[in-house]
Amino acid sequence: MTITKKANLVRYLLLFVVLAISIIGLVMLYSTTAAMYGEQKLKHQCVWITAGVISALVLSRLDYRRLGSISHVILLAVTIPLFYLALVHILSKIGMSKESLSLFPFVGDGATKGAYRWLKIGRRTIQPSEFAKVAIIIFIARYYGTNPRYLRSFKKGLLYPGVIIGAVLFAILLGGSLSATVITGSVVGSMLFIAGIRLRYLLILVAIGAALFTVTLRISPERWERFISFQDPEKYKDGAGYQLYSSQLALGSGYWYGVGFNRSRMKEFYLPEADTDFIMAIVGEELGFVSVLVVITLYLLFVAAAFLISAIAVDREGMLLAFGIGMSIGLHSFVNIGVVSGFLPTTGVTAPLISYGGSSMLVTWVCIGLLASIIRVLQVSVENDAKTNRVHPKHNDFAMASNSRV
Amino acid sequence: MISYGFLTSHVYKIQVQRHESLYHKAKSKYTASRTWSGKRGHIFDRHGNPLVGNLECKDIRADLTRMPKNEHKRHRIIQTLSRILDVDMTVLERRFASKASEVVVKNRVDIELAAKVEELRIPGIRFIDKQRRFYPKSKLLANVLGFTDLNNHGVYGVEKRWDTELSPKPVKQIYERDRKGRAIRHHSPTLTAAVDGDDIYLTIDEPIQHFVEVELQAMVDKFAPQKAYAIMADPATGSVLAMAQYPTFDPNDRGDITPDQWRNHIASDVYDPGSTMKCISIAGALDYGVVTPGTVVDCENGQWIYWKRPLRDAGHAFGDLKVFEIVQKSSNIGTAKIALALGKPRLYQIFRRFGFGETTGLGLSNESRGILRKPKDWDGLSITRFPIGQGISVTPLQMVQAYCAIANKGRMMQLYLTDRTIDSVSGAIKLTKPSVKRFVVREKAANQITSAMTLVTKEGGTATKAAVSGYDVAGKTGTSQKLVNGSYTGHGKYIASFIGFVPADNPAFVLLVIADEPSKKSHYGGTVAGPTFRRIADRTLRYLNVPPTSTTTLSSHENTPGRMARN
Repeated sequence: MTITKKANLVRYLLLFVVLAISIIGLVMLYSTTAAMYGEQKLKHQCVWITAGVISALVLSRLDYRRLGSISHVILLAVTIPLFYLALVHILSKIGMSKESLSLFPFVGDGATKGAYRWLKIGRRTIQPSEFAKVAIIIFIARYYGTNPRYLRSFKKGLLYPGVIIGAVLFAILLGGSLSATVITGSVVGSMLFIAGIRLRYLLILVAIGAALFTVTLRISPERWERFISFQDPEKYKDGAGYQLYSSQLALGSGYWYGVGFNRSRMKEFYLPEADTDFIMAIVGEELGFVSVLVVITLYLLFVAAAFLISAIAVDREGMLLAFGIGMSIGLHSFVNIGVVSGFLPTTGVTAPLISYGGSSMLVTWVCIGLLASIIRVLQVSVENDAKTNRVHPKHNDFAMASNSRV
Repeated sequence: MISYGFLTSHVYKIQVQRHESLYHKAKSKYTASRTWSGKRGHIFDRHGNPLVGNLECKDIRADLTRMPKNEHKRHRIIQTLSRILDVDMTVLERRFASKASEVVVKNRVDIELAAKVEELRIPGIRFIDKQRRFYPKSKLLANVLGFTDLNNHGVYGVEKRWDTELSPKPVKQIYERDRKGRAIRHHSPTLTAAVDGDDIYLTIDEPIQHFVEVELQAMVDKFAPQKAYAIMADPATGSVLAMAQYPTFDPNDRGDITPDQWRNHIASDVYDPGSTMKCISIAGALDYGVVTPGTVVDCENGQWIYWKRPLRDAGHAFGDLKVFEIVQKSSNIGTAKIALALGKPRLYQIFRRFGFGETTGLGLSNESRGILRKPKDWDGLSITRFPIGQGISVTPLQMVQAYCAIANKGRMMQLYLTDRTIDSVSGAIKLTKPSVKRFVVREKAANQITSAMTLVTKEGGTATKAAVSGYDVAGKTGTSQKLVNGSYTGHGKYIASFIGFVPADNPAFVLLVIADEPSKKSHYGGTVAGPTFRRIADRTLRYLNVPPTSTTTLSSHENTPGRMARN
C-alpha cells in the first residue's frame, strides 16, 4: 500500500470515527438533558462543536510545525491562567473569604465542586487545564521531535523540559484536578518513552509521579474516601459512593440492549453529572451494553487512527504529536468509561466528543485538526516529491525510536 | 489494548451479569406509590340541606434539606410562617431544628392562607392537597353529627356510626418519580379513580332542628339549667326529626371543647324521668285491664305510708281520683296504688315492653341502656317508686321511643336517623324502611292513656302552659329530684321535663324537652319545659302544615296565671 493510500484511508477512518462519536454524543446529550433543560444544552454543545470544527479546519490547513514553532508561547499562555487559578484555589484553602476572592477577575462566584478549574469569561466558562494538556503535547512533540540529540543529555533531555512540564503539571494539580494531572502525566511519560528517552530517566519520572500521586491522595480525606469507595459503591451509597452507585444502577438497568432511547430513569436528577462526566452511564442505560461496546470500539478506532497517522507522519514532531494525541484521547475515554463503570476510582474526566462541556469539546477538535494537519503535510510532501520526481524517503521513526532505546 | 479488554469485561459484568440485581435496586429507587384518597361522603338532612361537607385545604411541610442553611435567613422564614399561619415561633423553631428531612409546618391550612405562603416561594416549602370536614351550619345538630379525626375517620356521632359508608375507598397508584419526588413525564402511571364516600341523608328536618335549637337556647337563657335536651321523632315511622342539646359546640372550631360539650347526652346520659313515667305505668295497667280510665283510686289526702315510708302528693291533697285524673293531676299516690294492683312482674314487663333497660338501636355511639333493676333486685318500696319515675334511670331517647309507641296506638316503631344513603358510584338510593319493633300495648289502652294525657294541658292539668292553640296536645310533665350523693331530697336539684305529642289523635311528632337542674325562676316541668314544648310544637305544626283539630281557641295562656305545676 502506498503512503498516499494509507493517508487517504486513515483520513476517512478518522472522519468516520469522529462523525460517529459526535452523532452518538449529540443524540445522547439531547436525551439526557431534554427533560430538564429542553434544547438549551444541546444548543450550547452545538455552538462549541461549531467552534471546534472551525478551529479544526483552520488547523488542518496550517502546518502543525508552524504551531510547534510557537509551542513555548502557547504553553506559557495556558500556564498563566492555570497558575492564576491555582493561586485563587490556595488562597481559598488557607481561608480567604468568598467576598474578597470574588475581587479576582474571571474567577466567578467561587469554587465549582470544591475546586477552581474554570475561568469565567462573560457568561461562558473555560477550563485552562484542558488546554494545558494539548499545549504540553505540542510542546513535547516539538522539543523532542526537533532535537533528538537532547535525549542523550540529562540536563537538556530531562531536567529542563522536566522542570517546565513539571511546573505546568503542578499548576494543574494545584488547581485541584488530580485526574487531569495523572492523565497528562501518563501522556507525557508515554511520549517520552516513544521519543526514546533513557529508560532509567523515565523510571525516575514514574517513581516521582507515583510518589506524588500517593501523597496527594492521602492528604485529602475526601479524595481518599472517594478513592477507596469505588470498589464497593453500595456501601458508600449515601456519601462518597452515591454517584458511582447511581451510575452502576444505570448501567445495570441497561442489560444488552438498554431500556430504550430517552427512557433513562437515572437521568432524572438521580445521577449527578449525567450530561457531562457520567453521560456514558446514560448511554449504557438507554442503549445497553451493545452501545457501550460500540462506543469503546469507536474510541479504539480513533486511537488506532491517531497511531496510524503517527506511523506515517513525515517527521518526528508529527509522529510524536499524533502519538500524544492518540494517547490522550485513549486515556480519556478509558478513564471515563472506567470511572463510570466503577473500574477506576471516581474522578471527573470527560468522554471525548460525547460529554457536555465546551473546553473538552474544543480541545478534542483542536486535536482532530492537528491530526488532519499531519496528514495534510504528509500528502503535500508526497505531492511535492512526485512533482520533483523524487522518491519519497522511507521515514520510520518508530524504528528509529526503538533503536535508540536499545 | 489489554487494559481496554479488562475495562470491557468489567462493563460486561456490570451491565449484563449484574443486570438483575442492579435493575431491581434501581427500580426500587425510582418507583413510588401514592394514594388518591377520594372525597368523604356528605351528610344532608331529609330534604337535602347540607349539614356536613368537605373543604379543600392544604398541609404545609418543610423539606429541611432544601431550606437555606443560613441561620439569619431561616429565622426570617420562621418569623414569616409564624405570622401568616399563626403558629407559635418556638414551636416552629423546634421543628426546624429537628434532624428529620421533612417537618410539618401546619396541617389543614385554608386555601387562601396557603396561597399566601405559596406566593412567598420559600425554598423547601411543600403543599399537600387535603380535604377537611366542614360543617356549614356550625353548631346545628353538632352532637348528633359528631366529627372526624385528622385522617378524616369518623370518631363520634353519625360520622362514626356510618363511617364505612361515608369513607372513600382510596386508590394506590404506582408511579416512577425523579429524585425530587415528581412523577416522570413519559411514564404514564395506571390510575383508576378513587371511589368517593357515599352521601347520607338523615331523617333530621333542618328547619325543625333549627327552631328546636333556638327555643332550647331560649329556655336555657331563662332558667339556666346545667344541661338541656329536646328530641322530636315521628311516631308513625320512628324517624328522628330533631335532636338538640345544651351544652354544645362548634364542630368547625374544636380547639378547646370539653366532653360535656361534644358528647351526645341524649343517647348516653340517663336521668330519673319522674312523672313522665306515670303514663307508661298506667298505660300498662289499662292494657292488662287492671284499671279502666274511670276506676276511682283513693289518694289518701296527699300522704300515704307504705312499707314504713311516706309517699306524698306534692302541693295538693287529693281524695278520690279517677285514673284519668291521676294522670292529669300527676298523683304519686294514685299511680303507686295502680302499680301495686298491677304487680311487680307485670310492671317490669311493661317497662321492658316500652323499651326501658335496652338501647333504642338508633346506632349512636355510647348509647346507654339506662338502669332498670330486675324484679328480684327490687326492694319493697320499688313497686311504689319505679312507676312514678324514681329510682329508675332512662335515656331521653328511650323516653321518646316509649311515648312514640303510645302516640302510634301501641305500635312501637324502630327509631332511625338515616333516611337514605346514595352510592357515590352507582347513584343507587338505599332507603331506610320504617319497621315495627313490637306491639307494646293494645290500641284501646293507648287511646285511653292518650285521652287522659290531653287533659294535662287543659284547665286543671299540670301543664296548661304547654297547650298549643288549635290542637289537642297529649303530654305529661315531669319534675324529678336528682339523685345526689345517694339522696333525692334536700339539695334542690331537679330535672324538669315535658313530653307530649300533637295532635293527640293523629300525632305529627313526639317531642321531649328536658331541663337538667334549672337554677332560675322555677324547676317544675310544666313551667320550665312546658312553654318551650308549646313554642316548638307551634312552629313545627305550622311548618308541617298540620290542620288544627279543634276550633276552640284557648285564651291566651301566656297571661293566664297557670295552676301551680307540680309533680
